[in-house]
Amino acid sequence: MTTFQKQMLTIAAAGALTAVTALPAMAFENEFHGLYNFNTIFSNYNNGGGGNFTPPAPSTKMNNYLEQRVRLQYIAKASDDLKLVTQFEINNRFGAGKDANGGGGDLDTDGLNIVTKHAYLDFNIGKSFNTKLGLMPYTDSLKGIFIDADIPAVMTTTKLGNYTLGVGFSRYADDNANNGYLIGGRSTSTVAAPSQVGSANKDLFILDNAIQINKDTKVGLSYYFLADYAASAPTYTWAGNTLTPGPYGGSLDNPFFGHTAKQRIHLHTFALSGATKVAGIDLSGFAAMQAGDQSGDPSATSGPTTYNRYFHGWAANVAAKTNIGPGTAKTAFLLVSGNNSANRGNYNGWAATSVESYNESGMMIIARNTYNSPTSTDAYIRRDLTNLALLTVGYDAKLTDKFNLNTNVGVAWAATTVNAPSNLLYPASLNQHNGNYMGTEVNVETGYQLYKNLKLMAQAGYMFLGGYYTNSAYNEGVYNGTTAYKTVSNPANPYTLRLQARYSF
Amino acid sequence: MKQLLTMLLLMCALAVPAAAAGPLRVYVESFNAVGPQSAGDTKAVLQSLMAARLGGDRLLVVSTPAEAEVVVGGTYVSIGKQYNLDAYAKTAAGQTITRDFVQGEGGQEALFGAVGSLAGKLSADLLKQNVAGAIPRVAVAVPAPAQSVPQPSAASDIVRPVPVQSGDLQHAPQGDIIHPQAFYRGAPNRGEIKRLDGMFNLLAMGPNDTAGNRQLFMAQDRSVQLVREGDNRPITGFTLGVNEKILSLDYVDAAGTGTPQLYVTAVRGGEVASQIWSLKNNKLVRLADNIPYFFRAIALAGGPLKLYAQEQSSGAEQFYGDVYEVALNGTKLVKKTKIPMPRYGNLYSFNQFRPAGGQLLTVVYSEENYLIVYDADRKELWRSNDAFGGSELFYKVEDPSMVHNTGDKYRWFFMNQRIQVTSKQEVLVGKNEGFWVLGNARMYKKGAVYSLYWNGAALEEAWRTKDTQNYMPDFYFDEAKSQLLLLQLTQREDVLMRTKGASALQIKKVE
Repeated sequence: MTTFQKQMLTIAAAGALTAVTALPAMAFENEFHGLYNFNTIFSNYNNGGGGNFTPPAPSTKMNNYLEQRVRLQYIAKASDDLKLVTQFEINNRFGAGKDANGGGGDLDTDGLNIVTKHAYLDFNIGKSFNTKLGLMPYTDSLKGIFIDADIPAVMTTTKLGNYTLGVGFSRYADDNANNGYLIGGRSTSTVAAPSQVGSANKDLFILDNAIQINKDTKVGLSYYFLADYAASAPTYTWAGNTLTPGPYGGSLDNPFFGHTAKQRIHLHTFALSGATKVAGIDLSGFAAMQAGDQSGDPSATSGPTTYNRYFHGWAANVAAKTNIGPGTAKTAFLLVSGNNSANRGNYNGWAATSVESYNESGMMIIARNTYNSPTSTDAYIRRDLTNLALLTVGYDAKLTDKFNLNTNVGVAWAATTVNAPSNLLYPASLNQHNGNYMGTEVNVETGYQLYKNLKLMAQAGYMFLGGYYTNSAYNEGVYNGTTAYKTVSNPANPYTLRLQARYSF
Repeated sequence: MKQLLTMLLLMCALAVPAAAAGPLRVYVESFNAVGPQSAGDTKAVLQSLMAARLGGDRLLVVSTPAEAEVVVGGTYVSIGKQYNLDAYAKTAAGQTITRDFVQGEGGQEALFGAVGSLAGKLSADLLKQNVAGAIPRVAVAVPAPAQSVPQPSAASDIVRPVPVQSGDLQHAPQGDIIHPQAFYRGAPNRGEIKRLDGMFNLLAMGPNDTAGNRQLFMAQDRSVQLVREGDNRPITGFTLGVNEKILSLDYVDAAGTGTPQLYVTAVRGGEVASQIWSLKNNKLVRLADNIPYFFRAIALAGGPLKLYAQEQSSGAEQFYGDVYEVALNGTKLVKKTKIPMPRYGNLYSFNQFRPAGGQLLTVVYSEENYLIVYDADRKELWRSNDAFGGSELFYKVEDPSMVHNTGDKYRWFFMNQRIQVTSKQEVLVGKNEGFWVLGNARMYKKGAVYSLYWNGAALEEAWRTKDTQNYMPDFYFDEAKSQLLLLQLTQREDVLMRTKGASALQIKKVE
């Protein structure tokens, strides 16, 4: 046997040995996903920003702008039971050189505009226990109307047969600059103590129980405790815009905004949810109530002052969906209470975290639907969900293998008119508010699936305003040389038209 | 100097017997073909067949006449239904060594058997003559060791690993390399289904027609056709609604009536709404609709083909509950045996095999398409380092809670290649590969089928097909005929060019 043959034999034997003794692979896997969304918008209220909007004045001109969003997700899978999930986002508005995300939409497109969306570790301990640590997406069991956001959190999920328990903790504000008043029980002190990181926070505790009774039936019981010890400005910033939380209830309707550090909030949210299928119809719904209190701060200019304030918000929803003909028909009703309290001692409105959604509605104008916020534009009548009764009906039709046509109609009422826009024909002193009916939205989307991952879309949404907004706006003023006259009018019906290209993989 | 001369003489003396003791090197030249049955490619077919059949331990088929000690050729004559196939073997110098012939009845399909028996006779005669010393052996230089490692023939569709014999590396006899590609190459109406318009995703064996020809069910996104092998016009078929998509296709007798049914797993608006069809008088008749089960016919451990089903769940996990063997009773499904699934096991990701004398093992695709083998207690024994499987077939389920996370309101679910186990307990899996297989964007470029066997500790490759030049959506191994059917996507849809795409079925002989 030649030396070469011996070598070959050795190699072959080693190969055979390797095959026999091969250990389970610990292959490191890379997984990528991404999205590119181009969005051209023509609207009399969309302006590239987000938040709640007031229907525009009748003389408002149409805005036109172009936006894009890129999302890149990278998942590093170290093993079957351990992975790191990251996602990054780039937002641009054409022509906007400098915005909150760093710009890049101007000549030569330079800009530091990549932001972190997700960065978390996801690992299993045994077969039944999963943990997620980091900046992650979370949607509540209430179809997102309390929280549908990316949060820094620790989430655990335990599965025992058909029972799933989700326990989590999120800290999404750490206001150590203002926490000196709270330390050591000296909450009434006017002398600030040394600050202490970790004491003046917004902490959300999450408890989601779910039981899968059978293939189609699931019930859930959730409890969310939001402890807000952080001072909040009466405005907040979203996508480069400074916004007031809501025009419907004055500037401070959302209790989580515009409070001092002393006006700490303990908000308990209890929710019962369920989903089943009956005669081919998917039914789902939930009921939720809120309790808790907010401390008074005599020095505050809004919210509770001398006495504490108590929360009494509630929400309910029922929805049905079924396949009919070439598409899917769906209807849903959501009611979230509004703050009809005449005093500072009670808050009866549904208090959400300020980043929530109601995607099931299919709306473009009335209620926040993240599907219709594909880029930075994120304005809705009720972006912050409270004080709303919304009945929606929709049909998503697949006309051919390539074409789809989705239509939605939504009728909205305010749960309470206490803070409805004033009828400006009456003196402000009379505090004359309008009726409940906010209006009806009709929207249409047609899409063409050019390639498997690329869809071209045209969308149009129009809202016929109701009596809630009667005479709540002014016409454009006329200047006679010495005085500007303006006449009271109904606001313009909001509309938005969009042309999109969406590539996702 | 004398010593050097002596050494050279000795080396020459040793080299000649060494060469003479090796296998007889045979070159098969092109055959003559006469008669109406003889199409242009018959000569090549005969040459290829004879080369394959002559292989053995003591005969080495070589690729050029220059290397050969014996040249084999012959003539094929067909008149009416009769044929005659004769062959000769002559030395490199042109002296005839032996002649043999076979006669029979039948068309070209009879050649498979005829060439085999003729090659058998010829081999026996040649070996006899060789032993008798009637064939002059030609001394050839002992090949350099590097060349002694046989390379798979470029013409072969089946690539087999080099066998290791007697603890040493041996020159693999050429006969172990199968040359099946010529059987159906470019031969319309004789086995190959021609280019089919449309992008087909799925394949299922249908019943043979009265003439014994194989018929196949093939499915695109929302249409099913029954096609006769060698034909490109559907015999029958049906189309589902625009909101539906076909995920799997199986033809199996789950009712025990002797007449199989066609089980079509489909989703309607993201929900499983499967259908059962029956083939009657070349017409497909729907027996049941809107069945909330995924279906898959599997021959577990190479046993009889049975129907299995699993329910759909919601959310990220699409399979609910256990996998059951089911039977069709009228138009109702009856659950029978439950098949416990190991981790990653679901209706479409598993099969079982039983190594000789061993326990029943389960093989599944992991989420990343690695093959994992579990023992009877569902404990992992082994997993592959290569990923197999891979399919572009997917369906989408609307989930509004996904929008915030991904920007897409649908969850995407991809199907996978079938795992087939033969009666010899070989595990057959497809393997698609491509550069642009990223997230939910999948565009495979080439595919192959691998046959793996359990060596006691791991799945080891027995053979594999050559890579196709196209994405391979599905395959099926027809064990009775020992043929591998590879469905290939030969052209993709192009909306702008108004091209609907095209598919083809390639049939490879496995020996």
